[in-house]
Amino acid sequence: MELVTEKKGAIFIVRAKGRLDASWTDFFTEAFLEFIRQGEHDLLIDAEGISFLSSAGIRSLVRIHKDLTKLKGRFRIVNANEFVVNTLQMTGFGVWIEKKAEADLVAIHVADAGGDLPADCFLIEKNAEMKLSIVNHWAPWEKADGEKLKTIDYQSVTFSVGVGCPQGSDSENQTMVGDFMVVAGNILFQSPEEESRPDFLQPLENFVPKFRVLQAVEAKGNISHLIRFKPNAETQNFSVSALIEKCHNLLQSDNILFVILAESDGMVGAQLIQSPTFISDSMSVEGIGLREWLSFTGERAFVGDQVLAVGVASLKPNQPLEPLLRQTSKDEAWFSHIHAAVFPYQPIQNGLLDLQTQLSRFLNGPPPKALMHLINDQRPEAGLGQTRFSRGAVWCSAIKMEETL
Amino acid sequence: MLEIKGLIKTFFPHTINEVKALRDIDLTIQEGSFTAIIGTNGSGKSTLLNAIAGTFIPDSGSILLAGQPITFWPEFQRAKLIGRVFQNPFAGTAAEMTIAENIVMAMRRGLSHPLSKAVTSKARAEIKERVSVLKMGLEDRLDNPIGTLSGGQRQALTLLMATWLKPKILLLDEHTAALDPKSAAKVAELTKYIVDKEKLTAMMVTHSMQQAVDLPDRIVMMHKGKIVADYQKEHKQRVRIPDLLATFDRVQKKELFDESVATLLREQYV
Ligand SMILES: Nc1ncnc2c1ncn2[C@@H]1O[C@H](COP(=O)(O)OP(=O)(O)OP(=O)(O)O)[C@@H](O)[C@H]1O
Ligand SMILES: [Mg+2]
Repeated sequence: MELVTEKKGAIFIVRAKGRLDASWTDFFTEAFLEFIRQGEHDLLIDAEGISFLSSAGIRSLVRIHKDLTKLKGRFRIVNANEFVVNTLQMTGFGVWIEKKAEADLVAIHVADAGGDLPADCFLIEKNAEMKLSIVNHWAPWEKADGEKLKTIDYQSVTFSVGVGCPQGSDSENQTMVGDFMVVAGNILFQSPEEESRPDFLQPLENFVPKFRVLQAVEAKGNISHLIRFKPNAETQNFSVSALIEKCHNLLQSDNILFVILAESDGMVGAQLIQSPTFISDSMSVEGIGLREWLSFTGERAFVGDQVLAVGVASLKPNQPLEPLLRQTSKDEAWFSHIHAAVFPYQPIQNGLLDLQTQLSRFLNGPPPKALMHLINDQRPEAGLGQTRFSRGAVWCSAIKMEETL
Repeated sequence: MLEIKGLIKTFFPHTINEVKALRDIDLTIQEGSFTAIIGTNGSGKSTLLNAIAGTFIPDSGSILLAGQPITFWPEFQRAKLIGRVFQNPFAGTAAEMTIAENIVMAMRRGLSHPLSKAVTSKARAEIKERVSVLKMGLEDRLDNPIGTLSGGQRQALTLLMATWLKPKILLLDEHTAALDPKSAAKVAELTKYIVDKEKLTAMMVTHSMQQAVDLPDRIVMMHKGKIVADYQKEHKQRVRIPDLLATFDRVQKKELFDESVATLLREQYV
């Protein structure tokens, strides 16, 4: 038995040659379980070279199929000879046989737009794009009283980063302005109180989440592409700027909205720990005094946790976007504003992934542990660099800039 | 009940070994309250209890216990007001003496002839009754040397002895830390029971977040000789282990927040 493998988009093709009988099934099963373990969940066996299939061989195929089903994977056989096709059909496993394989192979897969990162790209909605707006503006560390807050309704097409607080009685909530993010209408926020945990507001049938916003950049529209990435021998992890660059290659746009759902390989970020509404006229937040207002991760934090991040990135930001973006990394030209929520690790399936489904899965699962504003730490000695991810998904869309901006 | 103001203690001052063990501690403990003291190693928890017990005189600050200004009282004089239990189960009792004799010693603490260990029959009846509260069957073994008991049993007895005379304050310093998990849970449960039943005022140093969340009605967190968090009333009720860990984390992060971080975030945070 000889196995030759090839990767086509998300599909992992195994060309098998020889007899699949009792003496080869252990080898065959183990080889396939290893493919699955390495994340290959869309398996296609090219059976042209399989000359014989015994009951032991079928048992092996059943086992592989079972493991893949658990992972919502796909298992198909193409090009089998008449004997193998008949054997499978008579034993009730005819459904695995795929007739016109090649056409199917290209259907979901978009040609990789270039770049050297190991990633798969999918087209979700052709020509989908986003419109940008600055909802409210506050520059740290201006005095920020409650009257400045604007109440915003969040619809499912809205993506945003900023600072604000949930709606409620004024006197209480004025003191609660903290970092927040909006992903497809779901608001995730962190009150700046010492003991508070991140919380969220999910749009339900008749419930449109509202939020009181002190500062926010917002993009409205649909997602056009999905990128799936995972490490290989050359690339162990993916920096935020590398993922943005990948979106750029795909979208051919200088302004990008992106949502990342990925396993963290070290987060670097800061978080408001006191509401800016407490800044008074006489006060100036200076020097080390900043630590009463912001906390900093101080190390590459939350490695191995699952992160949901949303951000706006631009190559040449102009007014009024420019003051709200910062350089994403030292060497690259991107400017961005990114907020991220950290969830306990949950595996995510390979291949095409629906953002709404994943959002409701994470928001209905174990609660987020932290929410932060990502920081590019380029301090000369102690610098932690930028946030990195090991594997996951990026949904993205081009942002269409309007003249009024 | 206990009022601590501006308490400062520095060990080996003006030397390279200088340790600022207590930096300006203000703490008021209400009568009948049960407070857990948590914090990293060397944060000053034991030093705080030692300051109350009078192991040393503080560099500055004052301590008022049950209305008495005890700041400069010697340790033995305070002992009448204070019950203590330490980590080591062998520390609080005399191994070669029987259970009953050990308890009689505790009962006579602060009396004029404290060293007489004769056990009168009246005392014996009272001892039997109170030891049975431990539910360890020790009431039937009152004449066994205490050295024959397990660590958990000895620690339970030490706790009983420390509270026999209803001290103004009970100080527990990691008193379950040296016990196996089952004995530790049993002694923790007994602690809560005795503190509640006798309406004692108690302070318990512990590294067990679970104990801190479960037993007391207040949690004070120390770090580098300072009180950095204080959970009382409804705050205490909603606090859970992850919150305590998050607070530890925050405190440590704040420490790493230096000038370079301030400069970085001033540029980067929008
Ligand atoms: N008698 C002493 N002489 C000198 N230094 C001391 C003395 N007692 C405590 N220290 C120092 O003071 C600091 C605080 O110690 P302390 O024992 O109060 O900490 P702790 O919070 O109880 O820690 P642990 O959790 O390890 O028991 C430590 O650096 C310790 O080395
Ligand atoms: Mg100690």
